[in-house]
Amino acid sequence: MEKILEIKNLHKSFGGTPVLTDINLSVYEKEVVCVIGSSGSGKSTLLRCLNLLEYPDSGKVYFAGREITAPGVNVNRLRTEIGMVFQSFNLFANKTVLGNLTLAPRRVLKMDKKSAAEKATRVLESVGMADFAGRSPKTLSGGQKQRVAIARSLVMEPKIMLFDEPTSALDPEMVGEVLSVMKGLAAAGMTMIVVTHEMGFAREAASRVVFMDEGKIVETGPPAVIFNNPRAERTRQFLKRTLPPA
Amino acid sequence: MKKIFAYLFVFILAFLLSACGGKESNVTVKREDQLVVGLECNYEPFNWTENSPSPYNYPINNAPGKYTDGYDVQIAKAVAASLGKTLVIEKLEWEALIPSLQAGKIDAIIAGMSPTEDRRESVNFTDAYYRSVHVVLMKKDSDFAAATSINDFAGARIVGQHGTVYDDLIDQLPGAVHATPLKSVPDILTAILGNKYDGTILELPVAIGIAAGNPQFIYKELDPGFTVSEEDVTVAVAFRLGEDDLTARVNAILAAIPVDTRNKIMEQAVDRSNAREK
Amino acid sequence: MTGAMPGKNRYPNISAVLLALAVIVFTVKTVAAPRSGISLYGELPLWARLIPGIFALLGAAAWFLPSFGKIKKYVKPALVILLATQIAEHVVFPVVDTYLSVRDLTRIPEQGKFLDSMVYIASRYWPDFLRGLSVTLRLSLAGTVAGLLLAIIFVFFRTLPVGERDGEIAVFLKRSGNFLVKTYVNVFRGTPMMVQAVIIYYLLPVALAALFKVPQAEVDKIFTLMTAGFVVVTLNTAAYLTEVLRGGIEAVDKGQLEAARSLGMSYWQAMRLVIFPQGIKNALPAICNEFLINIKDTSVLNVIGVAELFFVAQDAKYQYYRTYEPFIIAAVIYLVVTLSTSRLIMAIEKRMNLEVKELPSSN
Repeated sequence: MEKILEIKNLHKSFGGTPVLTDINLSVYEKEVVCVIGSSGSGKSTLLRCLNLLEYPDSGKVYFAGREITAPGVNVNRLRTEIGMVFQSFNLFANKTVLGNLTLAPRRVLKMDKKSAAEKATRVLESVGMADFAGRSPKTLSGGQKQRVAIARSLVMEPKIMLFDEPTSALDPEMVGEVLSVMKGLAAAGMTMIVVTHEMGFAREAASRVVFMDEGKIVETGPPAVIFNNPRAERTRQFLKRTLPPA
Repeated sequence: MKKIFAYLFVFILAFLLSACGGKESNVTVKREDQLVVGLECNYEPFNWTENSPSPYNYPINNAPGKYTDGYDVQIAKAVAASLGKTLVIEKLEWEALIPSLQAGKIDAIIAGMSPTEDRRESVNFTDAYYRSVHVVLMKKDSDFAAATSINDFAGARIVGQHGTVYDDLIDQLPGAVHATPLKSVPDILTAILGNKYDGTILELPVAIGIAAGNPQFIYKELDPGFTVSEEDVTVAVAFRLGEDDLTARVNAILAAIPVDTRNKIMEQAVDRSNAREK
Repeated sequence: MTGAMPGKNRYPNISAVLLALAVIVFTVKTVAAPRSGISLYGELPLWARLIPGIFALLGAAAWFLPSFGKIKKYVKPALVILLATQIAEHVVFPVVDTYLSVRDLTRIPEQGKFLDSMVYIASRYWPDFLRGLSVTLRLSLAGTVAGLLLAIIFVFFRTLPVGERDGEIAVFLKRSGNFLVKTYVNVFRGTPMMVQAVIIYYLLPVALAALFKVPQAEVDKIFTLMTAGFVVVTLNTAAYLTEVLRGGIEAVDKGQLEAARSLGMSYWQAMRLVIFPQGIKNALPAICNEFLINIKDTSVLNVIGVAELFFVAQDAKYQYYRTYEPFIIAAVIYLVVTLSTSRLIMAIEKRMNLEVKELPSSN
């Protein structure tokens, strides 16, 4: 399998406080990597460094063979290949559901109105939201919004999808519908990096789990190993605190 | 996208409406051939506003559909004709007259303005084009209604118009209380009627007009009367500082109008002002 | 007010029909027997007097002909306005005329008789008051819209982000732009509009003539009173609206920008397509409020001689030697205008909030 993403010696500080220290990680095509850890461990920051919403202080990131941290990189073009789904959905409030999906294809990929609409409708169907095309985002429930957000990123046909705690802001009964969409994506072969607290999802769908603590990657491995037999003591402690007693 | 066009449309519409609301300059003659004269058009009988044309009045350039008549207008017409220029009349507030003259928006002020010393620092004045007498205007039933001379106003509260000779003359009434000046004649009249003050000082023609229209008022010419300097009792035309040639030419034109004629023109103006339907 | 709704096409709206009938009846009256005394329609030529009737007939037709469907929404309000003018003509003005003859007011009544004086002045001076009102409204509307457009440009400079990777020149330019706009806003918000009006009307043409080496007369031809008034209102409004818009834009959740950029949109695409529309929508109540404020504040333009409503009232004061009455009339007019505009704005805002939901989208 192709290596799609490589992070080398990445450091990031906010105002003197180190947030990420010497991160090294490789991600391969079709992998589903789940990043777990307590709040403040730097998980979100790491994710945001991958599509350059944050800039690393030092270190290099390679995406599909190109170094994206080099100067002179066309960040906008890069981001059309990397999809991002946010914890707070961030749907465009001034557009309808369909409008949310067609905005970037028309304005960035220069698709014409009709093709964009057709493609958007197909993607909406795949997440089960085709009936909501004409609705305004504020009329949707959290789970519906997140599914639309996922569809919005999918319509750009990214090579990799980044999920920043996609279900953390959802009521428990809506978590399921979003996770099932994500599982479907994984099964279809999308490369995904998911920062999450949903251990169930990680156990089921992840091909690899990364545990972070205090800005460093403590341990990585297949879910079976990490959840049942973690090597590091800190991993063990974290899992003990977060997982319900088995 | 459509919304943007909608907004632009509204804007353009609004602006067009704003722009073509009465042409500001109806005059087709070149600027050099115009004599633009500024007056208030609200100071009977020197200048007032009318709604329909008459043989005496003249259109107001910045108030389409309105005409102005009065002593000043007759003088303006005569001066413009003698200078060989087209008369253009601009209606302005009193305080705006001198700034507008200095800024070049008008060429002359013929607005019943007295050629005082401090005004001479800002403008050129011609010789007088009218000489008047000052009177005291009061309510018919005022305590001071029987006054005949300047000495009969001890204790009277007298108010004048801000920035005018009328205000300065109050100090010549011994014992009178010199009230803070008001902005305009109507304000003064209302205040006198409200018994805030006992009287005001005005020029005779103006007082005649007011008394004719408001039987509650009377006016008294005083003897002994005010000690006045020339600049107090006359009105002159104002030009920009340094326009000495022009001033001299107009002096010659004014000199050709004898005092009798001037008084006759004023009388007729007063009559027309009183007779007209407001 | 019911709008055109599918399925109800067949039944003509009773009130609309009654309105149309009333308008037609009054039109016949106006044409057949034009009134003497104070008259709105009396001055107009015959064809102009027929217009309301024709419009009412067309409006009535709109209810029965399907092809007119789209304009149905606008027929009723237009009929109401036409009817209002005719009621003024046939009801209000005759009442005023009667009052005048009953009280025997052929000349301005004595000082102190307030009601009589006001009625008299209103009856004689109403075309002038209307003209003054027209100037007030035109300046307020045009100035507010132009100020808004300017503010949209200015707020651009106020919301430029200084990125981590910007070169020194870019940072310098961005900071200067921000500083210049901030100074402009402070100057125009920190000085009274009256003072701005005087300076702009008297000083600016002189400065422009010197700057562009053009004769003063040419500048004056372009820089008329209306233009000066328009410029003053625009510049003043732009200063206030820049800050209002900035508030509206900064109130937009940062996540919106992040999401847009994550999809590959450039900063300006994101601003233009997602952030600004929301920011402006947030600021809409404040923008409309600024329009209402401008209606009142244009009164300060009277000091340079703009013939707006206050100036006209002042004229009446000089002409009739009445200090209070003309201004009470003007105050009533201002009040009626601001209240109805405020109602109109509320209705429009309600409409806008609903529309987002109902439109089948393409964008």
